[in-house]
Amino acid sequence: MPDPGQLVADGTLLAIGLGLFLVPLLAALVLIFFGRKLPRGGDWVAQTAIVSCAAAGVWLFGKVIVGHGDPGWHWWSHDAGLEWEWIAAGPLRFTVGLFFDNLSVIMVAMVTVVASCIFFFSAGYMHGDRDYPRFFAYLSYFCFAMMGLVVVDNLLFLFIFWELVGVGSYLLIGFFYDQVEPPKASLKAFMVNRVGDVLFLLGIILAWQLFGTLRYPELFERLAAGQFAALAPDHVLAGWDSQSLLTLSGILVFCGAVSKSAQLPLHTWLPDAMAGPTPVSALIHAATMVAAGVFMVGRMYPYFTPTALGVIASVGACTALVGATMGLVMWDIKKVLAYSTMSQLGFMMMGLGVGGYVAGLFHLITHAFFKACLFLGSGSVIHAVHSQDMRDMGSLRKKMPVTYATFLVSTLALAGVPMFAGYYSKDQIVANALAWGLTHGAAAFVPFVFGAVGAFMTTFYMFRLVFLTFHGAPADSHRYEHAHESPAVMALPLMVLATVAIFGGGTLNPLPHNEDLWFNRMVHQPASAAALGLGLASAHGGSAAAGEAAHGEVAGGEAAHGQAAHGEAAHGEVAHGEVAHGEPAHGAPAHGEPAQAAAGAQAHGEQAAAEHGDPWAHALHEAHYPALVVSLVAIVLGFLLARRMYLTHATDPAEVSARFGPMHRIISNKYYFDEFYARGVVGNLHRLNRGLAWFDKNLLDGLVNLMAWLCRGVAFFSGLFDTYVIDGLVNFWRGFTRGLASVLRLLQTGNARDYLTWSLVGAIILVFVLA
Amino acid sequence: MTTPLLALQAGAPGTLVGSLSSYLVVSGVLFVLGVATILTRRNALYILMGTELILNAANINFVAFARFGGFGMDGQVMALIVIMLAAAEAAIALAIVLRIFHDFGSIDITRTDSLRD
Amino acid sequence: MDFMFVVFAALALVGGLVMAFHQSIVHSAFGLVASLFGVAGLYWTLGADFLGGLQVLIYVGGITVLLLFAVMLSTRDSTRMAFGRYVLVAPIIGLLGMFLFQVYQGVLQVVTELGSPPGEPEPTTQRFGELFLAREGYLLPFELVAVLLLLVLIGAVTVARRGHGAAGPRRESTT
Repeated sequence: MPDPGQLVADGTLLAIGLGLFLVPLLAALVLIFFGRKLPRGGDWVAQTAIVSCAAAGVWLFGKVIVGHGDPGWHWWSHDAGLEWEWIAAGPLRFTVGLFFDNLSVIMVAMVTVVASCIFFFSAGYMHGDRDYPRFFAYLSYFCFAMMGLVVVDNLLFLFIFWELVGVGSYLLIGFFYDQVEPPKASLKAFMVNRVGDVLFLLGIILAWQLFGTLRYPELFERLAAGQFAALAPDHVLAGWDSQSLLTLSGILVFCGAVSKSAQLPLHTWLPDAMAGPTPVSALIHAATMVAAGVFMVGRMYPYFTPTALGVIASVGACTALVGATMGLVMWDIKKVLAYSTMSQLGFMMMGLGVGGYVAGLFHLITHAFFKACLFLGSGSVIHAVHSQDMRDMGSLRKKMPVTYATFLVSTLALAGVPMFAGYYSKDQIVANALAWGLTHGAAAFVPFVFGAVGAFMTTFYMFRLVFLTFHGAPADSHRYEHAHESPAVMALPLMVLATVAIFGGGTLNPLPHNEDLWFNRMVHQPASAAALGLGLASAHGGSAAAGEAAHGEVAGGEAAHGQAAHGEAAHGEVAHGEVAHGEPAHGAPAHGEPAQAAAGAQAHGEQAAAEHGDPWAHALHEAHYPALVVSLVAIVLGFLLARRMYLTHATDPAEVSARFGPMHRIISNKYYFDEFYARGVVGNLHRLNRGLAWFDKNLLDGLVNLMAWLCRGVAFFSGLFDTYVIDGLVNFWRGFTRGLASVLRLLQTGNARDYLTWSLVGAIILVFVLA
Repeated sequence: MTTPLLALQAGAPGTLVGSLSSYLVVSGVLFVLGVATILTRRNALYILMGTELILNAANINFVAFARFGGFGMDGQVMALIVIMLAAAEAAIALAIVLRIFHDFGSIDITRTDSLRD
Repeated sequence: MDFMFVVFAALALVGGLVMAFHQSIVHSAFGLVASLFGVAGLYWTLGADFLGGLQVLIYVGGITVLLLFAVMLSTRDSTRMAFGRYVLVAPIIGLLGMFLFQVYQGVLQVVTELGSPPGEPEPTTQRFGELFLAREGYLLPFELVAVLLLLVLIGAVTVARRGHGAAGPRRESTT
């Protein structure tokens, strides 16, 4: 690990790290207990808390990123001796500390700034709501959990905060608890996330069993050195080889992100989550919480084997496409944005999976800003027309200029129009996808294709939304009459976010090289787990070139593991099966081919770096311009089509949907995922439950009742015994005594002579005895 | 006074057993008669008389054994004490009989059965 | 058998029989008197001169007189009183007889082994006096009996007294 130097003092970082999550927590507690009694419902408490966090975050950003600019910078509180021991029970020792590097600093800054904007927007949006303080309490709680997730130094605590964030999501989605939809939606979100979380936890456990530590620096160190711990002989996975175990662990860990970031097939909760208030949608389901999954994948990047990355890429690509298709047919403005988010998250995952680590994460950051802006803008619109259905809107640009402007800007950014922030990040992803296809064989082009189609669809549905909402004629004149621009407290955050959407790229150069982009400079791709086989102890850091060379090692590593590749291929198929997709196992043949190609070269050791560093860098370089062209074409096509259908009305949308009738129906019904889950999963679970309940009721309770019946029987006989035997004995003595008495009574005749006689007899007997 | 009475002494010295057994027979018979009286008579005074007879029979035993069994004066002393006690007992008994007569109106002991149910 | 012995024995026995079986209580009382005389005579034949004299004095002179007074005072209508039917008497008496016979047999055997022939009869009066007033003799019983007689005197008077007697008048029970 490079020497971090004392860029920022230990104490400062400790204070900032702790403050980032403790301050919002404190705000949440204050608001829970005292919210109602505070003036204005206490929104200023939450706002102060988040703004101070944002100030700290921006300050740190300025110091580390802008001021220092070293891609290898990081700080671990453990090195400064600052960590807290949570559990120490023999071999089980879990501590928690703070870990900062460029990625987390950027993340913190993004989350706090976006959150601040949303907090202020909420003051206007939620004004007058009877649970106003509770809203800000929950928002603050959420920020506490999110910050915690970002700043901790180990997987276990990330998981803990992961769950806490889920709780925050549950609370916020179900904020309007007395309506019909929100409670169902919040429960659905929680349950679906649970599925992913369980798998995530399994992955974490496996990681702990393999490496004995969950702290990032240690974990990656041991990973790079190939220090696998042996599994116990009775472990269920005892016979597996290290590479397969690592792959499995990686895939399981990724499953957590599948649910949290609404990837296929655990995406069903995201559209329903729109039942929550719009600021919540903006904060949680656009910018931050769903991004946590991507962040986690980015954090754990070195942990994923090529197979695992392949899985990630496929899942991401499919999600990107499917999400986009669903965004085409929705009429609810928030649903469109929700599917757009799902699609964009798919893009990010795809980016990470195909080796575009930097691209995916950059898109995460930029997407947060413009998606939040879009959501808030939609909130503004909803606030104005009191409807979420785009068919009730129209021509709003005249009435809500600020909203329109910011919305348009964010749409351009989302579509990836050059010079806007989204362009730089999205373009990179597409380029990486193309390069991946070039280096991994024919089937590996699928992500690229999906990405391109997805980009086309993204542009289309976003402009469809814009045209329907802000252009054209008002659909409902009554609503139109009452529509008005939002107050400043809501409009200002929109403008702030839109600004970042424009300039977030850090440059206005339409054809940048990677080095021009500030993000690319600051965040470098760490070596992936495939470097293991070559025994290269390369760590997080190094220049961009080294990063790309490390990617070459990825290919070389696959070559060296000829046999292992076969094993991976098998696992790749298994893994894909787990994802439950019809997606062709493109990972398998892809791994096979370079293995064949490089086997002849007999690559080994450091030479691999020199020889195999080229293919990837070369492919990336080659892919850059074609990808750019493809992206631009997609954007233009999308825009034109949308314009034709929804602005100029040259083509009737109804006709189009009629032509694609069955397909349209399937997509509109969300591919029947919900129905499948309800009937297939939930239904069968209920059947199982009923069966178990029957078992419990009839057999177990029957057993208990039988026991009770037996007891009663025994008691009955015991009672009989008591009545006849014991009491009989007693009664016998009574009778006996009475009989004896009635006999002896006869002696008492009152007759003196009798007494005399008896005394004489007694005397005689006495003498007989004594004699 | 006693000297002439001594002349009535029975049995020649030497004829031991027969003399003793005669006395014992006499005392035995007297005893049985006394018991019979007690048991068979209804009059309370008969009980007293029978008791006296029994005591006398016992006294004969005492004295006879004292004379023939070589017990010296002890037997006679015992007999004397018995006589004294018999006198005391007779006095009390008669007092009781008078009481019974007073309370029950009769000295028929079959009538004295207040305890009978 | 000695003549005097037979005479006195006969007197005692006949008197006893009369007392036991005669219907009239007065006759029975006199039978008792005769029997007591006979017993006194038997004492004389046994060499207990003083005792015999006392027998006559106390028993005949005192007790029987008392008895006769009681008879006189308490017998109302008829002196004749029937025998009670009493079935158990015979077997009891039979048993008694057998018992006594057995005892006497045993005792006789003992005595014949242990006993010494009777010596010359001596006057016993002085001897009695010595015994009753000697500490190592029978002084204590003597005194106790004296106390007893005092108690009896008081007791008899108490019991027989009318009115504040030992027990109040009782109603006659109908059998």
